[in-house]
Amino acid sequence: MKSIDKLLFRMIAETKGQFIAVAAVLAVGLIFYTAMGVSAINLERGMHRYYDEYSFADLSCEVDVIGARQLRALEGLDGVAAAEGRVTEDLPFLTGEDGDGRAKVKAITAKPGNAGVNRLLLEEGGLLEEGSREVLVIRQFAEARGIRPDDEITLQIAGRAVDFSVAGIVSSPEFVYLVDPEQGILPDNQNYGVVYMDEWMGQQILGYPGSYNDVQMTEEPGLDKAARDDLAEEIGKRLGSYGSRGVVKRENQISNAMMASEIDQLNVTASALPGLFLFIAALILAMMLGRMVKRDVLSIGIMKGLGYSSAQIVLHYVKYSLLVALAGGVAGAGVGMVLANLLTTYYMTFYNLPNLNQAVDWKYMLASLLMACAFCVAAGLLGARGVRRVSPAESMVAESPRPGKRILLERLRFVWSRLSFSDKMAMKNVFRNKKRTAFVLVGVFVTYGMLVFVLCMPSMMSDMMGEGLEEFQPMDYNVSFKRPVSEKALGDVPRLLDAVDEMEGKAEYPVLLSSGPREISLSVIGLERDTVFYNFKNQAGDAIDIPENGVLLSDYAAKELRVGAGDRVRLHAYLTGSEDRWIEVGGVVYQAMGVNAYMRRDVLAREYLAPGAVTGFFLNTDDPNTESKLLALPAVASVSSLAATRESFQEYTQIMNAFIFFMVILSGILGFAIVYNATIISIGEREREFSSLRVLGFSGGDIFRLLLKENNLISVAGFVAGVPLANLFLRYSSDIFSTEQYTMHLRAGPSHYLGGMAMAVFFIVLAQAATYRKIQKLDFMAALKNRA
Amino acid sequence: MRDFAMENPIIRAESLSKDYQMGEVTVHALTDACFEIGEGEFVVILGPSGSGKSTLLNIIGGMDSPSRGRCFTAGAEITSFDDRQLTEYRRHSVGFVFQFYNLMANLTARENVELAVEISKDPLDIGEIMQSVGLGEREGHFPSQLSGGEQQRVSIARAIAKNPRILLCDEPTGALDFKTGITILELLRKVNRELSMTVVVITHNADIAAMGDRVIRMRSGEVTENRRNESPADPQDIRW
Repeated sequence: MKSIDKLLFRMIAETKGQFIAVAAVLAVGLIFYTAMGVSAINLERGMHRYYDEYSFADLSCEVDVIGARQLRALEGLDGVAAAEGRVTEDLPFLTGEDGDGRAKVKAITAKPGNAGVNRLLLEEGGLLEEGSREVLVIRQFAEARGIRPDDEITLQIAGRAVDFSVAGIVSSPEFVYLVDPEQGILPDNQNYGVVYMDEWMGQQILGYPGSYNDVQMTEEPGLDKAARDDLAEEIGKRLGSYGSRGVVKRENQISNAMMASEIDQLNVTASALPGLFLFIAALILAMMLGRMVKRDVLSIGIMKGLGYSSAQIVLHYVKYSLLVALAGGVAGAGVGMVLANLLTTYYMTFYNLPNLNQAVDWKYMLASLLMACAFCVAAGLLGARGVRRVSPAESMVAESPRPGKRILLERLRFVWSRLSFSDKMAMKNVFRNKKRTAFVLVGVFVTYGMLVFVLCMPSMMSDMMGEGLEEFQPMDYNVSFKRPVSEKALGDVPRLLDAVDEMEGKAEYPVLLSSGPREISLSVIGLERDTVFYNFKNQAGDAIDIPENGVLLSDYAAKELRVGAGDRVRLHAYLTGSEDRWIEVGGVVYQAMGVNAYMRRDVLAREYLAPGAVTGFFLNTDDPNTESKLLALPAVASVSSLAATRESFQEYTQIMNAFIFFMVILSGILGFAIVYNATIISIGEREREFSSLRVLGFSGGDIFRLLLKENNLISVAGFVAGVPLANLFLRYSSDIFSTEQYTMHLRAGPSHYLGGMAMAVFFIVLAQAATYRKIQKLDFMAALKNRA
Repeated sequence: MRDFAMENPIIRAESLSKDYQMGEVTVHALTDACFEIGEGEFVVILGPSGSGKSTLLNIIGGMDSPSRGRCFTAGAEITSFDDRQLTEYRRHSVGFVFQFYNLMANLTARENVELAVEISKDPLDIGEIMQSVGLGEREGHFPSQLSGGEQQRVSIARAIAKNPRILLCDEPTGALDFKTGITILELLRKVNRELSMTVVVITHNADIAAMGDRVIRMRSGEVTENRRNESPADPQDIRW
């Protein structure tokens, strides 16, 4: 090995703490990049393979009733590859200890021989025999309930308990993410499932002999977006007369949309976060190397004197950064790949995707390494640029002391005279070493910003599914009818249940809202003027009333359409085919879950349904059998319980806490690395200063406290700067992570700021404690004897 | 007396001047220095501190450039060299010995010498060099484990291992006690005689001048005397 390389390795050994710290920051960035990126690829590939192999529908539409002949007419449309009908109905599930009707299943009829659209993947047992009273049970529900082939299950159909034998356990591309669309976005596998019945049997039992209430279609391959939009619109028109609830494109189908948004989030995280970490690692490295060059100026001079060129010496330092890149890159890519496989395994179960590929993605690993190398070489070149300026002759001459000058604070005599000697020293050092101060400042405020962001996650989730949801929609049940009925029919409901506290009719209607070229499909919900089931508030937290004639828009919809209160939007009614009309936005509502518009029920019914019509109702009741009692009514399509949503949220807090812990550690590594490196650099640069202090009688502890004081001063400034950064972070994340299923409202309050500060202080103290030994080990006599 | 042909001097300085700007003051470190040094000479440049001798040495060594004037070594005008040429020049033609040794603290004695050998075209054998400077047994030690004299020996070994034609020594005994200083001077004399290297030693110690084949005196940046020493003294006979 060449002597200059031996020098390199000894340099690494000497600075191993800093080397590891910066490599760790790099590794964390690459862990994000590899783990998230590879998981996204695995997930996307697995998803498309599954969809293709099992012919997942491109379009679907619920209708009142439709016959086979009309379906064939749909198949004649240009662009439609297949159009199939099926019968679906939500049914109470009566089997098991809690056969109290709390659990429900979506019953779907399946084509004989498992042919056509949305084919099923048989996991266990056998397929359905034609005409048999058997069911296939979706895997997630079967696993949660311990259901096996040949078991008996009981469903409540039209008020009667009906037994079925389980023929097999299946998975479906339609339900990789199984969630009750009425219920929210978190799966509740114990209480919501899907069962498949033989088509003929299902039609008979569910009351649709020879007909269907749900159409599933696949498109011809190769259609572009415009053609697909036209096709969906055409189908919507054609199915309008069959009581269509609106055509749902694959991208809006809830299971697919949830998975697509997960993939999007993984991709966003994989592209945004690593950049931050790599940038900071490069910054630390450039700073470190710059300081090393300054410290090594004599050695550089000697080498130049010996005949080494500047390029050779720069390369020496670049090699250091390359080794950091390799160490961080290999660790990051390796751990990232392991994590990617763990994540993929997790996704396999969470999303119920069969055979996700878990192979090591060498291309990604190579990309990680190249990225690390690129950042580090750039940092190396930047940090070592001072080598060129070293003149061999001048480097041998002892450096003249830096010109001293007063800092601004010294002019404030009233303040300055009241500071202790060590305070003054700390102040002077902070203001004179501007680069180092800026470096620590960046470290503190990035760490702080990230921690505040992470700590906001629970509030955001609670906003969506916890207390926030309860405040926004203070209702126990949201009940939907199969088709609009007269509000007079609601009068029967209180007699059916034990105790009804509150009840209100609702009218829901699918529309397309547009403003210029921007448009969004959503349900307008018609509510009573003084509804007790919704509390509308704007971003500022002020209550908003439903306007007399206009609509309230949820904030995501308003943002998508780029409209605000007072603007007008174009409303296209999917079902009636009536003329589009312009409607005023009466206000923008803060809404975390779903995207909706709200208007007066009487207005909505009059315009689009029939005067006095309702499509369902909201309910507050203590009756424990509400769901089974209501689902027994032939007119009821679905019953969703907000309490169940809140319960499933509780279950997910554990996953969220693990995520938060992980993120806190990663943010901590970042803060630790920056503060540790900056402190070590400071100690190295000020060896003579500290040695002089030691000779004057300062203890190692005194010097350590002086350094602490300096870092603490910078940290306080970092926290102040961190508040706007955290807010920026939160706003950016809210924007990029919000989807039609949920809108992230990441907002920090005093508890988040204080919590983030406490954690950041912990990591800063830890980093400083790690440097304490270095000060204790300082050979002050040697430092003073040294000429440089 | 040794005979040195001066038709083709190995070093020729023509009106070398060097000015430094120190704030608002211009310091004339070197003014119109002119002299010639013959190949194989042992030259002592003598002068008090601040007389410009280190500046002169740095210019001859290609580590600094003059403000005015020209400097030739082995017929080539080094003062017209660009950075790359100066690097090549330092790499192959000159060796340096410094007062404070300037060894790489993280390399052993032998590795310090290897550092120079690895970039030179025609190096001497490291083992032989280490033996000849009397460090055969200590070559695996780091600078911090060596005495001042030993460190200066490593520095000399590092300078001569490249097999340069010129060895430039800046106060090589300045940091050493008398006895050790003498051994270092003996070593330099040995290098001069046995390897036929031109050795230029700068010092403020007038007694060392006695051993030079040529003595150049400097004061306030100017060459005040340039004379041949007809009977150079043996280092062992020098006292200070």
